[in-house]
Amino acid sequence: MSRDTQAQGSNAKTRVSEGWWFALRMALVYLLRDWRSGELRVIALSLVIAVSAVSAVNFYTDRVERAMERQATSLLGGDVLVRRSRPLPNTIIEQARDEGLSATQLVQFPSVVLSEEEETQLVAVKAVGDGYPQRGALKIRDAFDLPPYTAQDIPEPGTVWVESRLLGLLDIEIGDQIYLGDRQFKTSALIDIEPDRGGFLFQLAPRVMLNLADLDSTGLVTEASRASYRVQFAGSAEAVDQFRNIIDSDTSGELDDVRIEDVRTGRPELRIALDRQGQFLGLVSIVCVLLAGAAVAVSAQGFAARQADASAVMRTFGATRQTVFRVTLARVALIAVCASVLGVVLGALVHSALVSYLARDMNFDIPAPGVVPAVFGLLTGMICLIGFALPSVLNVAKVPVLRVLRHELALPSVSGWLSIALAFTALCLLMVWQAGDVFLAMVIVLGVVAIVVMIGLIAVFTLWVLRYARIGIRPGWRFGASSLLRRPRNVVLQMTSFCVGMMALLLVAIVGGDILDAWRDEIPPDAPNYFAFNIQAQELDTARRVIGDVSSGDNLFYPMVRGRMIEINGEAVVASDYPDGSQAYRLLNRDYNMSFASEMRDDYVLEQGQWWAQDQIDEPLISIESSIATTYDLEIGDKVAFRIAGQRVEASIANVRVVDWNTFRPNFYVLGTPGWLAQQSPTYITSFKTGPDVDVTRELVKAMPGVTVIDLNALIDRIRGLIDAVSAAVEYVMMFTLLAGAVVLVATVQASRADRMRESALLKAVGANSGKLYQSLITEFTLLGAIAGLVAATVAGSVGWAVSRYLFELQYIPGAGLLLTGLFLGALGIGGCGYLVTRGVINQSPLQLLNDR
Amino acid sequence: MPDSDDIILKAADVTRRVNSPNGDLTILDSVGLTIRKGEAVAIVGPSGSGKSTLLGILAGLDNVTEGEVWLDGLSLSSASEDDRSRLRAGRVGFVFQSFHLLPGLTALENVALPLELANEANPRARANSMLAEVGLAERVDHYPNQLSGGEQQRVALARAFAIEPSVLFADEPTGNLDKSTGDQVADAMFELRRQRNTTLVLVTHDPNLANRCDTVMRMEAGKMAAEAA
Repeated sequence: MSRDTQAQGSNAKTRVSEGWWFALRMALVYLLRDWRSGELRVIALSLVIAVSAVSAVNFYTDRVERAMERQATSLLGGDVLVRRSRPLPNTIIEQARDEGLSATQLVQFPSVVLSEEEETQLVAVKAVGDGYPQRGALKIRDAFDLPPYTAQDIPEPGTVWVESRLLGLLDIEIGDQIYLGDRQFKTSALIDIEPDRGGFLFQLAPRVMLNLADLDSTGLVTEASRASYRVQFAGSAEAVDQFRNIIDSDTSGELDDVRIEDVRTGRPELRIALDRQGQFLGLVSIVCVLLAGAAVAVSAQGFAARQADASAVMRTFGATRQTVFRVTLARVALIAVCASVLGVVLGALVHSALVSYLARDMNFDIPAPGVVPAVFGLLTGMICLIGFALPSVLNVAKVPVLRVLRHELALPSVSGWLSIALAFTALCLLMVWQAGDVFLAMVIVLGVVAIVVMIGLIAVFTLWVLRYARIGIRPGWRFGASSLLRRPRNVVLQMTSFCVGMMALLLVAIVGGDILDAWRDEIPPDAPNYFAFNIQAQELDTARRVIGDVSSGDNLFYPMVRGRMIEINGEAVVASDYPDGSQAYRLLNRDYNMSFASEMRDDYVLEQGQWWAQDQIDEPLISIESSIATTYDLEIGDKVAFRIAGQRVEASIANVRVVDWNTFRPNFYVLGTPGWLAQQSPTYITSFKTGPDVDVTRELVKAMPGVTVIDLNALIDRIRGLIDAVSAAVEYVMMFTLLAGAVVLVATVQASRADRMRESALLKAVGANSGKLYQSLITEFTLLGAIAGLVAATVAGSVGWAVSRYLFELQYIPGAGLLLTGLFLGALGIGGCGYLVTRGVINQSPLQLLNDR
Repeated sequence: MPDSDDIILKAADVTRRVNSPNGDLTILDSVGLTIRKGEAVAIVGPSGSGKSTLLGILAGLDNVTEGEVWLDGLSLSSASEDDRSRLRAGRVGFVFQSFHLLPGLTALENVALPLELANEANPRARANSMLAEVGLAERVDHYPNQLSGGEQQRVALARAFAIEPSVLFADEPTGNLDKSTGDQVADAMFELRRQRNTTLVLVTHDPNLANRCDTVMRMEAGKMAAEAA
């Protein structure tokens, strides 16, 4: 401002309204009218779809994540489990309590119990302190015939809770006395589910649980005994972190032998699968945001163009550029906030449908929805708006004020670089946030950008071909083809968006369906639902009879011997040579089940070597599972020694076998020849299928007290539930993606509506009849849809092939059916949709159209 | 600087050139004028003579290439676009040939807009009484597309006068209306300015309308050709 102006401007009669409050007030005034305006409605619709998709996925993954964490803490019995071969110093436990953690001490060791009839049995003793378990629920029953319930307390002093099979093994009843060390205990309850039993399902010795206060009086635990000490801690995440710091920062060396486990270190496979699913869904939902963003960008540009006059008038009456910018932004943002809130609500509704699969089929205890996904949904709406609409909104303020006198002065064109930079930043931000991993996010952003650019280039190439191909075709069709050529930027955007949307649909509907079916088929309908093991050789006939009564089919019994590998080619192998926690480490650190067989089972596939011939079945030969062979670098002919029941036995590797672990049949890492293993007094294992609602456990345990029965029904239901949940979630999210693609169609058609109206009016004025104009419209959109569908089918087929080949290891060959489906789906869907959106243009009279201009 | 406190608008040696494919094109060539407070001035001339450009420059909508313009004692020539906007707020009213009502706002909201922009008190009450003054008390909640051309221009008049402007700029205010409606709008405009003693700068082709002004200035090929009282 000049000095004159400044000096006199201070005496100006008014002060201009430039603040955000004014902008917000104006936005509220405009709200209802804006809602009725086409462009803002498309922006709102796009944001509703994007925010719904993102919120549904995040609500879902957040709840599943927390459910899994709950389940994991239940497996540990606390938020943190500390293990040690001697007691944890009381000072440490006190420090943990000071941090706000509650603690329960446990001592576990093997021992022998004696009944009053002087029967003995090896048992796994667990002495538990008050508050056990800190997380999860211990289920007990008062008698075999009574239903289980959650224990509210630990065994009273002087009493023990025992696993049901101990009663059979000792031939005693609940209420009878047993002797453990120097003490006598009364058996007062049966243990039904012990949450933190973990991987000891196959342990031979049945559980005896007593009160920690009774432990000393048994006289069983001395400094020399093989007891394992554990402390379960529970509390807030901060308190847990503080406690870890205390252990980690110990420099005295006193705590070096302490092992800490929490939900992060002990992740079950199911959790990893669900995590991946969540990550995948999250990333797909961002593709949906990208499409919605394209629709937002197109509509925002149309909105900005329509605001040019209003902007010039406002500035004429004294509004600064900043005021105009703020008012425009506030108008768009207000609509966006409303749309985002609606999106979050819709997302919450959709996610509850997804969660119901998990809750129903997987018997998951799903926590209530959190606030974070809602906040993330709202922020996604805002980021999408800023990333895709801001350049146009900024532009509104740049309208030359002189437009009020000279209408030909238009909006300056939006900066392409600014648009791309903002959209790219928004996309990256959302991806990183969703993936939680910068590298992964960048790889996917680049992948998405590459696919979008590739489809864009195909669209450009198609237009180039069309330019020459349209010559010589009928006029109505030629108009349609020419219409595509007149708006190349729009058409490339439309085609790219439809392609991405249709690709998502085709991937789910055709390719995804096949993959999910293949996965579902991994659990055959005749999959066994029970495992029974610890069957003694002399009980085989009884077992065959009892199981035969409830189950049809040929139930095979596999001999089972427990052992662990100790030497390879004469050299000792020890767990500490391998990374802590790796498969190689774990398999050297515990006994596992081995079996023997003379004939090869039909589902085995030999990777190397030959199955032993009948004349070799007495030789010391073994068959090794292929992952074990890889882990320890084993080859045919290598000599491997095992310790079985305290004895060293050695055999040569005859073959390497691929095992399908999903068959629900007993499988073994190591199979030996009968001659080599049969003398190791095996027990037997079998799997079988019963009809629904047949509880075979009781019959089996009654007939063979020492047998352990595992009911797989719950596990099978869980896996089927997981597959259903994954399919449903993927279908929902992909459906959102397709919807977002459709909104891009509406947005781009809307953007060209004014031009189309003028063209239609002119064509009608010079004598074109409605029939020709309809033909032109239908040709334009059908052609666009057919090309987009064909490209989408090609890309979907390729992606589907790659995913099934490399990720699922399934055979999938995209056929001509896929291409034809894409072609017709695109032509019909987009042709019909485009026709519906634009037919109003043709129905109006030329005079009305020209006057409207 | 203007010579006297009585002068509301002054232009000295105003030249406006624009780039064209055939080189620089001079639209205004050393135009000078002085308008006193309360004076009604008509600028007439054939199409392309530069009268609308002059109106735009006098109102601060466009900038000069050379020369200087003062509005209400404040220099427009060297002010930025936003500063010129601030200067117009609450000081300048406009009436356009194509009405330029904001389609998303009701008649009342359109009239209240400049009051709100100028941070005036009770904008809605004042807008209401202004609409009553132009005979549209019953139409306050109508949107522009629900009003006839004459009604729209009367809303535009109400909007222009609501802020009690020092100067009203009118660009062919009756150009889009039939004769009878145009006369009614012109009557309303001249009556409102008379009551408020508002300075009027009117660009028109209509000699009858021009003759209702105190002064008629004629533009020819970017120059001020004559001035008749």
